[in-house]
Amino acid sequence: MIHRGGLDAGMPVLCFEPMNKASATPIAEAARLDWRGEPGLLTAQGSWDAHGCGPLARRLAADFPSSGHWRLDTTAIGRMDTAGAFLLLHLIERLRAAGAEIDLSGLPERHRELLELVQRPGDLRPPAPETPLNPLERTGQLAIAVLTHSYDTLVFTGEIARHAAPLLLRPWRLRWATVINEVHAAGVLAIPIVALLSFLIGVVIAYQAGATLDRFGANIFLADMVGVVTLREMAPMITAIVIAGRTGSSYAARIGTMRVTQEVDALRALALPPLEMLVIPRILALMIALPLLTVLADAAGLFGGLLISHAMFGLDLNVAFERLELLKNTHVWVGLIKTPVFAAIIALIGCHEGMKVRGSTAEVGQATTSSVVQAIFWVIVVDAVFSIVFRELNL
Amino acid sequence: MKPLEQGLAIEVRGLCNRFGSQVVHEGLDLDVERGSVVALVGGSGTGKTVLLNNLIMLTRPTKGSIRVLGQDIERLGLRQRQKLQLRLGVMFQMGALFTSLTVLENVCLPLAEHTDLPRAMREEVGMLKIRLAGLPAEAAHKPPSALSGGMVKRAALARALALDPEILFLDEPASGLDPVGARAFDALVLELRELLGLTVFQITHDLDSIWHGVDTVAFLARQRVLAMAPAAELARRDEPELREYFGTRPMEK
Repeated sequence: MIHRGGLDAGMPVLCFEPMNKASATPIAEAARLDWRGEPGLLTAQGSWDAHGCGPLARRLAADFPSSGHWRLDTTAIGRMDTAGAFLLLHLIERLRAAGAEIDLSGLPERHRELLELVQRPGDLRPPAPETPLNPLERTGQLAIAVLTHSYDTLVFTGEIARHAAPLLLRPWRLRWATVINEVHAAGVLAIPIVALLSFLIGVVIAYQAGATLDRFGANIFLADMVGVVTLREMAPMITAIVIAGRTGSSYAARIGTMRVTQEVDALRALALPPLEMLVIPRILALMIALPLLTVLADAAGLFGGLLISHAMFGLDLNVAFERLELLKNTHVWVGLIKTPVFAAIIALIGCHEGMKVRGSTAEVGQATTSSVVQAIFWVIVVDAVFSIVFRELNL
Repeated sequence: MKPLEQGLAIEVRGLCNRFGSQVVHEGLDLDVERGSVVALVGGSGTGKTVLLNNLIMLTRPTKGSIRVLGQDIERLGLRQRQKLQLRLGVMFQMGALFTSLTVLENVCLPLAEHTDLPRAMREEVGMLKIRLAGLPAEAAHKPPSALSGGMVKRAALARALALDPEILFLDEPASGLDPVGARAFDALVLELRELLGLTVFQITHDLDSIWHGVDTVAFLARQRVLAMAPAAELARRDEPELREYFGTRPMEK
């Protein structure tokens, strides 16, 4: 099986760090083993639990006696747990291997039971972890992942088309309540951010263009500059990118979580196709919301651009509006016609990434990231294709 | 194995929990002896999980005192509370295994973060807990998503046991297990109690566990612990809630 997320596997939320970060203040008195007192007597003292065993466990190789007959006395141990029992076991084994005889008859019953407990399951070495793949295998796996992903996307698009076609012929069967909710969430609630960003982009364009055009005394063309750049490219792109980050990601997270909680399976079991319930209404909603938001972005961008052109570069607003009037028939529509396509790409990728989640919460995060990255990538690629096509058509 | 110290593991007095106008507990008292296995039962919405969350210090009650292992948890500072939490093991209902870590890493996480044991020894302790919880050694390197429901429960138990807790809290250990698996889990818990000297406090809905898997049943109703006794004794009592709960059950073997 192909490792999911091979293309863009995110960092795990929680990393297992193999180093020790034990608390600065020790919780327990350290475990000790003393043989220098009464001859022939090994006394264990301190806390032989997970918190106290560290220091002694680290110096297992220290100069413990290597011969003679020793009686082990553990009655002075404060608390012993399984970690302490392991430590005791290893010490006894070490001493015996070195040639000493250890007499365990003096151990309290509790300690003897713990020693038996830790020996009971037999070999406790963790099984060898799977060997990591070599670079060639990883390249191959990545290639397969890319191909599978493309194939999956194609299948998903096809399935959507198959489900959408009959619905579009009988539009009253569409989930209009979901559509309206989603238009509200993706469109209405995004108005402030889209308007603000477009306004700022308009301001920046006017500043940059104004500085150059001013030198040629061609200030009058600022209106064309701001108009063409904003209407054709900037407003549709900025809106699409904001929506990819804001809404595409939320589709992936929402549907991904619904897969983890088996809500998607429940829909299926109730004979309610998830594509019809969840995916198609969202695609439709975004195809409605994104063009409307783009109109808003057009307006906000022009406002910002003209504001700067007028205030900083003395552009006469009447002239500016006259020039903009000439742009409206082509550039406005050239910009707007792309947006339903962007919307479909964003919604499709978001929903597809969400539907691909299988079982674990970690995948929801990956799906969300991946949906944003892919959506922005494809929006820009498709925008470039549109530019070429429109250029060829002399629009 | 007997617990080291005698006395009460958990002592709750006059506990109240209110959420807005909704009263979940009112004047709840509860005593859990060290070394006992106690089941907390009660209908849905009687606040079993609320009480558990109070005891493991995830939420604070509205009123009342809780002593865990002899310490009043309201009077503890952050450090002391964390120290006390290390002496408690919790197994959550859905397992709550960290999905980005393998089973062994899940079990070793508390050992790595809270002790300074060398790595080999941490893994040894972790593997012991995995094996004691009844998982095969091969499960150690699996991610939680590759485990079955029963194995998730066992892995969660192994993680709860990582630091050899003195009290083990289990939230519905039998849910999602088949009857055979649930009985085996009960037997495992009783055996671990013997081996490790645990006190076990579990929320359960499983009637077989209540009858055969625990020493004492704390029955939650009317916003408090209505009765606390072995199941056989509760089944003979006259309170309507108890009769309803135990009435439909065949008698004990």
